[in-house]
Amino acid sequence: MSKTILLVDDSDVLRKITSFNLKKQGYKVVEAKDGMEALEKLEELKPDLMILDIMMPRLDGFNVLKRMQENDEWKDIPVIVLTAKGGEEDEKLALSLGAKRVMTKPFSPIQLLEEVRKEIGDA
Amino acid sequence: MHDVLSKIYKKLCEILAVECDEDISEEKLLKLLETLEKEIVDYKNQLEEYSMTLDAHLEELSKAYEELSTVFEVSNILSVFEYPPKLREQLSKAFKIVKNAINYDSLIVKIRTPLEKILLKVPGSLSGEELERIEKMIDSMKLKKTVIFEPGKSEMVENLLIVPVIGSEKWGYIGFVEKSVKGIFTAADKKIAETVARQIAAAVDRINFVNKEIERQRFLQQLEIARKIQESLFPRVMPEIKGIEISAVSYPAIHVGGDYYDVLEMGGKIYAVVADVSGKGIPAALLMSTVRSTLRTLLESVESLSELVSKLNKRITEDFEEDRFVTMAFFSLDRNGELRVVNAGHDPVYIVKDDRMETVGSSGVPLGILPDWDYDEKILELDPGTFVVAYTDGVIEARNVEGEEYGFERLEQILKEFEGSAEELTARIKDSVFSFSSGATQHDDTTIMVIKYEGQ
Repeated sequence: MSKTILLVDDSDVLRKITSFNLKKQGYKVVEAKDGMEALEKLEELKPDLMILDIMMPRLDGFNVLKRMQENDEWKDIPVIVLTAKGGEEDEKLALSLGAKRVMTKPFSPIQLLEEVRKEIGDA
Repeated sequence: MHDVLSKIYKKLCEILAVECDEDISEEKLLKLLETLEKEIVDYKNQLEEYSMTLDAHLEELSKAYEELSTVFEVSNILSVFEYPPKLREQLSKAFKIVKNAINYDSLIVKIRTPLEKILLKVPGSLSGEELERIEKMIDSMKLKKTVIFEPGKSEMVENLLIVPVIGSEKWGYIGFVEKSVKGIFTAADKKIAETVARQIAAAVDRINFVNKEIERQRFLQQLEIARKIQESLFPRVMPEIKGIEISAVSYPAIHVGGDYYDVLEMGGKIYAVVADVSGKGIPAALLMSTVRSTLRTLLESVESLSELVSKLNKRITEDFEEDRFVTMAFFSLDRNGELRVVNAGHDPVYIVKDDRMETVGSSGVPLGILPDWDYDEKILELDPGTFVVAYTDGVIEARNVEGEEYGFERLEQILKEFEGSAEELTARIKDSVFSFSSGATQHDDTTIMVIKYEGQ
């Protein structure tokens, strides 16, 4: 049974690229296109890892992280945050909200796979 | 049963958009089913094809994204500037990232900065000897642009992508090596490698620029010290002796040279010196300082001017390096108008009274060359109203914008026509020289000394 990754990003292209790369490594990928959809998916399944964009409509990544921290079921799920903003403040905030790692866009897909592997191992 | 088949038949006709016959036969139904099956298989094949195309696009997009992020990251790393530079660390960090975008096995990066030589070798699966052979091969090339070698198409058994690092100068190269897959380096790899090379070149250019600027600042500091030393050597107040008027000016060039003048009074006599010390900057200023203090010390213990200059020469020759020397016009003048002159390799000293003009040329080698040289002194009796004019080569060798020299004739023209005080003559010569060379760079110090004997 391969490991499941919840991939949350409002950019369709970036989601497809990342999903494609993760699936190629054998991970199972569940996609969500904003924070609200991410929470809905979390209700349905418990992913092994979450890749979370920050700037998204309806509910942004920071709020998703906050909700996850408040929920005992979700707070231990490792999260890799992707951010389009390069500010140190955003990085600090994401880390303080429980993110394991923050990567700025454009990120290296190869490096993202390495980070995923570091967190949850191979698929 | 017939009804069911009839319904299926009609539905199939609808799906396949064909006209239904009124009478249904098993044969017709089967044919329709076969058509449907064929369409489904076609769709499946098409979908598979689309899926493959999509995967290929995603693969390509992913690679492009990887390349984009590589260029960003490398640029971030290499654009950080520190002094002293940490280029070696920056390079090894940057090339770890470049590996994500360019599929290479081994790497040689050779960069020369004004401060260090950096050789970064990542051997991969190649042995040290193999990598050394490649390094020597690249070293022997006169690399001006990127080259790609493929096994079979060149003498090399490996794929090589070699990019020169060229900024304001050629600073080195990057060599990517891969031997497993033939023809692995692509046009995209070349472009990324060239972008990285340009960023390295910019980083080295920055180091080079800052280094030059630091050297320039150091040089300017030295110059300032030399200028201060030189300034402190000139007499602040001229000695006053009745019947003798003295005026002197000195204008250092941008690169402080070694002009020096001094005027002293002892035993009712005026002793004056105009000298040009070889070299520039602090060494020249120090030599000048020694000449000054030695002169002042010796002046109290010698009998004649020629003895003074001979002893000074001996001291300078012994104390200073071989290539240091001083040209000097040294003279004394008393209230009776007795002028004594020793000219050691210096420009002629002019003695001018109305339209009569006489010169005292050099009677010996410059000081600091031959320790035992005996300098002669020339003795002249001056009539009241006579000018004694000494100067350094900055006057005669001043050049205008066309490169023409000021020369002796222009100076003599002024001296011939002149009426006035020593100070006025000094100013007249100075103005003439500077207006002649206006717009051109002053290459040498310019010193003028005028003594007017007015009589008792």
